[in-house]
Amino acid sequence: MNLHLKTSFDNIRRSPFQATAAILVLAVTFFVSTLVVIAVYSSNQLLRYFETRPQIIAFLKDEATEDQINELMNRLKEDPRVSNLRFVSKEEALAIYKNITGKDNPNLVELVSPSSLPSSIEFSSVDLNQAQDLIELMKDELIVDEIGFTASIGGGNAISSVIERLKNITSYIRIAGAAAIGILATTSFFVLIIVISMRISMKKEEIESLSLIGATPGFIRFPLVLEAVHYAVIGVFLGWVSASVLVMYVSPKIFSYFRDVPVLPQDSGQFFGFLGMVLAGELIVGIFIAFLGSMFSLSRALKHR
Amino acid sequence: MLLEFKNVTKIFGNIEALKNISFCIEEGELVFITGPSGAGKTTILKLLIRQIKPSSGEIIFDGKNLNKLKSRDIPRLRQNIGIVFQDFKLLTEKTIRENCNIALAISGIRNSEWAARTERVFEMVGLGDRADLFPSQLSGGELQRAALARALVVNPKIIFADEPTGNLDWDTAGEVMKVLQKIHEEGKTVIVTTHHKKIIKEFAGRVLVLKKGELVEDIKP
Repeated sequence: MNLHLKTSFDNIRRSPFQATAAILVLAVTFFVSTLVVIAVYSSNQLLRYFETRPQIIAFLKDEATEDQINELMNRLKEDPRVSNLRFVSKEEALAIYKNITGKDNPNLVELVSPSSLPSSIEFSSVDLNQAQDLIELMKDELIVDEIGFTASIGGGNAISSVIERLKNITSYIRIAGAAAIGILATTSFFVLIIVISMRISMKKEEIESLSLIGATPGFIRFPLVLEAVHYAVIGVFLGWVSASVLVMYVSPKIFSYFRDVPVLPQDSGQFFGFLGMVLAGELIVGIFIAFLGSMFSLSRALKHR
Repeated sequence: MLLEFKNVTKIFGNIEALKNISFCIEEGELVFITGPSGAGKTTILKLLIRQIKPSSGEIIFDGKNLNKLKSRDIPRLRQNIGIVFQDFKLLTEKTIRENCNIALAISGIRNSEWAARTERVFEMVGLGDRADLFPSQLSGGELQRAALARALVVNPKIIFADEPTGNLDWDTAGEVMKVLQKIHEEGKTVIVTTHHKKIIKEFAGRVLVLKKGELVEDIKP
């Protein structure tokens, strides 16, 4: 085994309590970090879902003729403020209704026929600020019976307010997450500084001996930096595994609550790929914190020798 | 010439540890530096490895003026000097073999050469069966030989043994000195500081006598 690697493992083995403290603090940091990253990802997915799906549904009157519908569709097609335009017939509306309601209330579905559901025109507003104008415009159309929004969270009356609310939620998650990660990462940084400083203090004579027989500062520092990196790698892995297990445990509930909103990758390959990317990112950050913390304590300790 | 001290003075506070000392040591010499405690023997070692700098004068080692040596070049200087410290300075958490391996790694010697080099020095100092023990498991004489093995394993230009017999009984001290003499006979430059007059008489070598920081005698064999 490499000499430095063996030295750093020996250091860890000889001070199990210091090692455990460092690893646990790092594990908590990266447990929270993993959850925050997943929460940010999910909130972004939720936001994107509502931003990109049809936002305005104009339910048409039963007496609307095909020509009238085509004429309105053509006018909307030419309107630069409109996107994702789609006509939903009575039959398609029934299919959607069955899909949503059928699983829970099969008897209720039996009572509904295509004639009992209105046809509709669905579209999105390119710019959310113009959504309200488009709604007002559609209200004036003779063949339009009622206007609906597909997103209505927290009782928002306008689509823009719904999206705004989602943006606020996402922003709160990001800010609170960043603050929590910042505090925990700083704590980890200082814990690593303390552990490595204690190690330097314990190995004062050894460091002096190495220096006297010609060891370069890099040679002296390397096993201590490696030790901090070991703490970080083990801490990151433990935190990530714990958070991933928790997310996997609650994911069936998340999927059933959000139904067709892809807040998490539903394909298992993509799901583990996403978690793998989180782990890779956290390893880079963890190693960076370990490197910085150990170098900081080493430069302070060796300067004062 | 391997080592030259030119009018070297070292002052600590108001104590003059070395007073205008000058001497030269040629390659392959065996030199004893002797004198009572506080005469300045260890100060010479500290100056040689640039642990401290002289207050005045110059030290030339292997053609290099140590006063002008940059900090980053000090490790290279120390790698070329095999030092046997009075208090051994062995790494207590490593076996004797690992101590030697660390010295080899510090000097940048390839891993593939380690086993052959360590076996050779263990045989030379008579520590073959103790190589995998920790310093705490060895006697004083064995520790001294282990420190000598670590100094020798990197094949340095010079061996500097600071009071290698200081804490040993006469028989053990004699054994350690025999190893140092053997190293000298193989062509290595060996400097030994000691206050054991018996050792100096027994082993033929040049003797530099220090007294209160002054070089009072330079006896050539």
